[in-house]
Amino acid sequence: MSGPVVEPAMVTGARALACPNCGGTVDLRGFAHTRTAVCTHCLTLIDASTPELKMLARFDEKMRVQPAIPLGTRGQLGGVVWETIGFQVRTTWVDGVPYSWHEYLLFNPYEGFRYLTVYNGHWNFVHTLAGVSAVFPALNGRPVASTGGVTYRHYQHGVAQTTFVLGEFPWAIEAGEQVEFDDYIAPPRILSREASAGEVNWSCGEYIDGAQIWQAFKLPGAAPAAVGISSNQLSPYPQKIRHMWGDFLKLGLVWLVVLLVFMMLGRNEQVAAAHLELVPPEAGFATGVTSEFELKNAVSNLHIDVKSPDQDANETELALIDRSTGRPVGLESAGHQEGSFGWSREFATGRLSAGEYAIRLEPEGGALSHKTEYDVTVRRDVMHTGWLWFALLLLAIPPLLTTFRAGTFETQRWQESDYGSGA
Amino acid sequence: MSERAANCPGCGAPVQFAWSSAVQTACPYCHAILVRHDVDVEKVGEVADLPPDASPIQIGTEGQYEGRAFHVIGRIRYAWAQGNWNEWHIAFTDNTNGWLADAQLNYAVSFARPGEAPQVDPQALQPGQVFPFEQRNYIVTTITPARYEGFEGELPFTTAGHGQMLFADLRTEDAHFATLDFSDAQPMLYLGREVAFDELKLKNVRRFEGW
Repeated sequence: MSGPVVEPAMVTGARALACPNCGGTVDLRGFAHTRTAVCTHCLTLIDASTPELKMLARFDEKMRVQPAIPLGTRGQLGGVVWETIGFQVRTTWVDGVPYSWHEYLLFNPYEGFRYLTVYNGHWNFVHTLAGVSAVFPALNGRPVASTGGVTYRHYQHGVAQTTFVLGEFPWAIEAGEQVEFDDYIAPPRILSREASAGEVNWSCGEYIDGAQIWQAFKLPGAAPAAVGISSNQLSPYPQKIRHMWGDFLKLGLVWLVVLLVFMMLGRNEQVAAAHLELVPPEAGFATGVTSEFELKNAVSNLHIDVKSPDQDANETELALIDRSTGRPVGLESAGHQEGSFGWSREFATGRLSAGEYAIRLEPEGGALSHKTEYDVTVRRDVMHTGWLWFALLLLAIPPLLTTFRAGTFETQRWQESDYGSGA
Repeated sequence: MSERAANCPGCGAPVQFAWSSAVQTACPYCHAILVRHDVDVEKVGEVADLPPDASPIQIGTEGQYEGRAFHVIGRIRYAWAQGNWNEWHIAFTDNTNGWLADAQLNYAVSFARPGEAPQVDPQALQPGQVFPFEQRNYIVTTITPARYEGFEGELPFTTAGHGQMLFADLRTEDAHFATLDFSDAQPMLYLGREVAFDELKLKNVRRFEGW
C-alpha cells in the first residue's frame, strides 16, 4: 500500500540538461512548461518535452545575437517579478530590406508568460489576449480592430520569420517559422494579430521606456537611446500643447488686464475741435490758424486729426504752435487715410507741458485754387496699444509651433506604416 | 444521494467523497479508479501516474470566482498534439461545481450547461463560425483532438471508456469563452471566461523552488 496520490506541494526548481549535440549545460527555468530549448553554446534546437531530447535543428552561428537582458535575469514589471527564459529574433522584409526585432519570453510560475519586444530601442510589454478582436473597415477604408472597448487603427501587415532563438519556450519552435502579422495601434498600445497554419493569436503590447527596462532588470549602463518614432509610442505633444495653450490663456488674461489698465489710464479726451475754411488769397500764402486752446496740465501726448473732403488739398501741412514761444512743436505722422470721404491725416506729439497752443494749416507751397474746408480735432493722452497686440502675437508663437510639431510627429509615426508616404 | 464514505473494492481502504455529487474518484492508497453508483463503489481501472506538471494549483487549493468561494477537488489532465492542459474540478460552497482550466498558466473558469449545446456535426465545424450564447457572439477559434492523460481527485463523471475526444473552443471579443465537448453522443456546452491569476485569490497553491 503506497501513500496518498498527491502532487508535491513544492515544485523542484530549475533543471539542467546536457545538450545532445555539444554536451554543454542547457539551463531550464520554465519547469515542466518548457517544450523546446536552444543550447546557448551550439545553438541546437532541442525537443525538451521528452527524455529523448531530440535534436530538431540548429541555428546559424552567424545569426547569433547577444540578448541585452541575459537569460535568467529577473525584474519587476507591473508589480510582478518576471524571469527572462527565452529570446528570439524575428525578421520581416519590406521591399527586400530586412527589419529585425527582438522578443524576450518572460516567465512567472503563477502569472504565466509575457513578452518584451524591442525595435530600435523602443520597448513593448506584451501579453497574449484571451479574446478575439473584432476587425472591420473604417470609413477611410483602413481596417480598425476593437477589443476591450478600445479601437485600434491598422498600422501594417507583414510576414515575420523567426531568424534566431535562444533559451526555452513552452511551445514547439520551428526554425524559420513564418507568421503573418497585422499591427493595429492606439498609442501607447499596440494590438497584434499573428496567424500561422490553423492558428490565430492576438496580443496586446504597451510602450515602455528602455530606461524602465534597465531599471527593472538592473542592467548595467544605460538603455540605448530609441531611434526615430515608433508606431505606438505616446506622442508627448498633446499634453505639451494643452499645457502651452493653457499657459497662453493665463498670460493672455494678464495681457488683457494690462490692456484694460492702459485703456483706463489713457484719457483719450478731446481738448479742441475746429472747422476751418481756407480761401485763395488775393496775394501771398494761404494760411489758416485755429483759435487757441489751453492745456491746463502737462500731457503725455496730443493726437491731432485733420481731415478734408477735398482731395486736392491732401498735401496740406499742419503745425502745432506753442503760443508761449511762437514756435512749432515736433510732430510725428500717426496715420493717413484716403477714401470717398476725402482724406485724413493724424499727427502725434510727445510729452507737452501745460500752456496755450494753436494749429496752423498751410496748403503745399501756400497755393490754393479754391475754397477748401478742414476739420481739426485734438485729443490728449491717447494710449498706444499696438505694441500690446504685437506682444500677444509673440506669446502665441510657442504654442503654435508646438501644435505644428505635433502634426509632424504623427506624420513620422505613420511613415513606416502601410499608409506612410514611404510605403 | 449515496453515502459519502465507502470502502475501496480493490484494497478495502476507506474512501471519502468531499463533494456529494462526485461520480468518480481514485483510491488514495491503491490507485484504483472508483466509480460511485447508487449503492456501491465500483473499481473501473487503475490510475496512471500524472506526468510532471508545473501548475501552481493542486487538490485542496482554495479560491474565489465572482465573489463565490471554491475549492479544488479534482482534476483531469488532457493531452493534445502541442502539449497539455489541466481542467481543475472546483466545488463551490453551495454544492455547485465548475471547472478551472489552466493552459500554460492561462486561467479560465467555466460551467457545464447541460442541454444547451447546439446540434452541430463536429466534422462540419470550422474556425470562424459564430454561435450566439447568452447575447454574446462566440467565434470558433480552434478544434482540438485530445485525450485524457490522467486524473486525480473527484470528478462529476467517469473518465472510463473515452479514447480520442474532440473539443471546439469558441471565444468572444471580451474574453468569454465556450467549449463544445464532443466526448459523448450528446455534445456538452461549457460557458465561462478567462480570469487573471490574481483575480482568483488562490490559497494553498504549490510553491516553486527558487521563487
